[in-house]
Order: sequence, then structure tokens, then C-alpha cells
Amino acid sequence: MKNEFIKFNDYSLILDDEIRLKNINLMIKKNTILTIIGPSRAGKVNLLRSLNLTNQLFHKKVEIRGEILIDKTNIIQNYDLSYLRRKNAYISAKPIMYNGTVWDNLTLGVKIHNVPEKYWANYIRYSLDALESWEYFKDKLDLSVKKLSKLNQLKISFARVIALNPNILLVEDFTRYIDISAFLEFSDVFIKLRRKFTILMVCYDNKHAAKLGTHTLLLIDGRVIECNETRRFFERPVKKETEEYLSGKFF
Amino acid sequence: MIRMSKIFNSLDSLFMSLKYLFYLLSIMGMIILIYYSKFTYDVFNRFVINLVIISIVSMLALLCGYTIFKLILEYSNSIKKAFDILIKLSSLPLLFTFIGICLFSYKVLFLYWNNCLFYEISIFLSLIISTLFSSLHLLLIIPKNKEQEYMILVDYLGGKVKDYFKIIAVSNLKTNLYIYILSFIKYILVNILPLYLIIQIGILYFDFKPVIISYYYPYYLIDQMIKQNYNIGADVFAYMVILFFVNYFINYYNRELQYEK
Repeated sequence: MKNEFIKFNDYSLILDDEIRLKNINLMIKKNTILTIIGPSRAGKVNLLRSLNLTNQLFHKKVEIRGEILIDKTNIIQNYDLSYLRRKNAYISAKPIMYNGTVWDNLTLGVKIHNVPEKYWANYIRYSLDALESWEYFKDKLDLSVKKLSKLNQLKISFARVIALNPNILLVEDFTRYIDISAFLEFSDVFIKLRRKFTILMVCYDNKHAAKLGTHTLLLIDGRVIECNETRRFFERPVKKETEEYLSGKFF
Repeated sequence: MIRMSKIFNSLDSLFMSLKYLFYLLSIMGMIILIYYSKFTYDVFNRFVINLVIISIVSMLALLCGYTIFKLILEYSNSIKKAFDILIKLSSLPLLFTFIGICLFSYKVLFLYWNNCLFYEISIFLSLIISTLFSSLHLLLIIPKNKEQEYMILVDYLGGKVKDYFKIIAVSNLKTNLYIYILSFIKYILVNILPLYLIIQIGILYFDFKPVIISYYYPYYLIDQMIKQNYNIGADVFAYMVILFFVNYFINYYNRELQYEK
């Protein structure tokens, strides 16, 4: 299929002998924002982590069946872990701020990937530009991150990975850590990021999923129930379970 | 699990109280010695030599610990997992403590190995390896909360273990260097020194029968050891190390159980 970028083929994930994802068949196009919703323990975060193999960090026993193709390469068999995590960047829900200045935090990724120091400023400029935040941060690079607001800490955690020029952003639901005005301010920037990246985001609030996504996926008990364009998903769901979920039955 | 934790908590408090009691007694002993001018150059000399040995062994252990640490982490894909493995590995002092106790008991019970080189080397090796792993553990248990987050962050960014060390651990070590040093000194001061002092002073000057420490070890073994009156310094030293790790282990499991809760 044209523009096919990420493809799950009969993908199942078993963590510590518990099945978390069952026979996932899914195709995601480039430059989309896929918002993933579902009740708790549906496997939303596990699906996200499957794309940069970070489930392995949190579980002793990880069993994978099927395949995940990114740009037609099966990441489960052929991967350089460091490169994979650079290209499929993960942004946790709570921004993890390393103790130091804004500059220390922004350059953490480029330091890890041995980018020569003379290019750091360019990389950081590029990432902050993508977030429309260069003007704000350019005079605050020596400021301690502890002094930043939660929204600005969130921007730093995005900028840190964008500086590494990823293809995919895997985003946990950040909306719980910022207030509504900060969310509204950041959501516009976030939506614009799809011009450069393919984004998968876990959402715990259907309204946020509807606002941010171009496509939405419903997971229940590790199974894909429905995946569709966001407007269609919320206005005219195809599956009965989706209707029930949206009407609040699963809560 | 909670019940176990309570038992360990009580044991921990008991050991802590005992340590402070020993502290007090050792200070009193010191004052008495100085008062009666019995603190001779010879005693001081032996005391300093043993302290120097402890320091050298500790430094060696730290160095070896760091090298092993680096090697193991280098071959692991997940920093967090590697740390988990290392924390398990660093619990090995129990094994070496056990070996130490076996050798010690064998010597005292069967009195075979008087001035035997093999025995001295075994005890010394057991001491080095125990100290090595416990130093490793000391370094590992300090980074518990924030550092766990940093490890995950470096993992998420596609970093390797060397990156964690290069960028975060070194910087943290610099910032918290005094905490590491103080913790290490505290371990030696609180665990080894008071007991060492009181027993050494007691044995040398007051014909001391260590009933007070029979809580830790069957009295008759200690009594036997003293009656033999050979190379007491090395035995007492080994004994101190064993005590140190028994106490250390109770602390360790207590803490682990608290985390599991």
C-alpha cells in the first residue's frame, strides 16, 4: 500500500507469561498522528514500546510473535538497538529532567550519539524551531531545568529527542502533567509536528485523542477493535464495541 | 512479606542499638587506657597497620568493583536490567561470609591450621571478595530513585551503559562525591571500628572474655580462640569482617523488603 510506513503483522506480545497484545494487524501511514485509546491494561503503552523495543526494560520475560515492519524492515529481527531508539524516539508521560541546565538536557541525546560538539548548537536550534520555542529558550539555555514550568519541561523533553532527527515519535499521554491552558498552547505545536514526523500517542482522555489525532485506534484487552480516521472514528464508529467504549460502557 | 519485613526491622534496630553501645564502650575503654597510660606504641602500631590494610583492601575492592561493573554493563542492552543483575551479584558477600565462617569454625574447632598460610590466605581472600562486592553494592544502592529515572532516560534515548556513566553517573558522582565517601567511612566506622577497638583493648589489657559479643557468635568458639592465644589479631579481624557482613545483610534485606512493599 502506498505510504505504508509502519506495519504490524500478526504481532503478539507476551510479558512475563501474560498476553498483552494479541494478533495485532495494523498499518500506519507516514506523517499521521495516531492516538491510541482504550481501557486500562488494554496494552496501549506496550504497543508504543513495541516500536523501540523498550518493553524489555520493564519485564524479565518478553516473548514476541509476528513482525513489525518499519519502512519494510522487520525491527524485531534486524535492528541496531541504539539506532532504533534514536529513530523511534520515546517520550515518557512525565518529563524526565536530568539535573542540570536547559542546555545539558537538550544536548543529552546528541552527546549519547556522539554528534561532534561543533554541530550541537545547530541540532538544538533545529529541534527548538520545530517546537516554535527557540525565541523563548535562546536566552535561557544556562537556566536550571528545575526553574522551568511543567510545559517548558515537556518542551525540553520533546526537543531533546527531536534533535536526534527521529522518524517516529512515541508519545505517552503528557496531558495529565500540564494544565488545560498549557495543553491548548502546546496542542497546536504538537499537531504541526506531523509535518516532519509520524506520531503515535497514548491518550487517556477521548477528547484529547479527538483533538490531537489524525487517526485513532481503540485497543481492548490487547486486541485492536477499530482503527480509523479520527473524525470518522468518533462520529461514525464501525464496531459495536467502539460505540460502547465511547459511550462509557468500559469504564 | 510484611511480617518478614517487621522482623528484619526489629533486627536492624537491635543491631543499631548494639553498635551504639559498642561505640560508647570503645570510647570509655579508650579513655581508661589513656588514663592509665596503657595505650602504648605497640598497640597503636597494630591498630594503624590494620586500618591501613582495611583502607588498601577497600580501595582495591572499589577499583575491581568499578571494572567489573563497567565490563558487565558494557555487554548489556538495557542499563536498568544490568543494574538489576549487578544488585543481585553484589549480594554475594553472603556466600563469602559463609565461606569465612566455615574456615574460621574449622580452624577453631579442629585447631589444625595454626599459623597455616593457606588459612590466612583464604580468610584474606574471603575478606577482599566480600569487601569488593559490598563496595559495589554500596555504590549501587545509593542511586535508587532519581538515578533509576536517568537510566530509563538514557535507555529511551538509545544510549548504552558507557553513556550513562560518561554523562550522568560521573556528573552525579562529582556532585554527590562527599555522600559516597561519607557513606563508606560511616560503614567502616559504625560496623568495624568500635568492635575491633573494644575487643583488641579487652584482650590485650583486661583479660577480656568477650561475653558481650556472644550475641553474634557462640561463646565457646571465641573462648577457644582466645585460649589458643595465637595470631589473635588476624582472627579478630576476620571475625569483625564476618560481623560486618552479617549486619550488612540484614540491612540489605530490610531495605529490599521495604522496596517490595
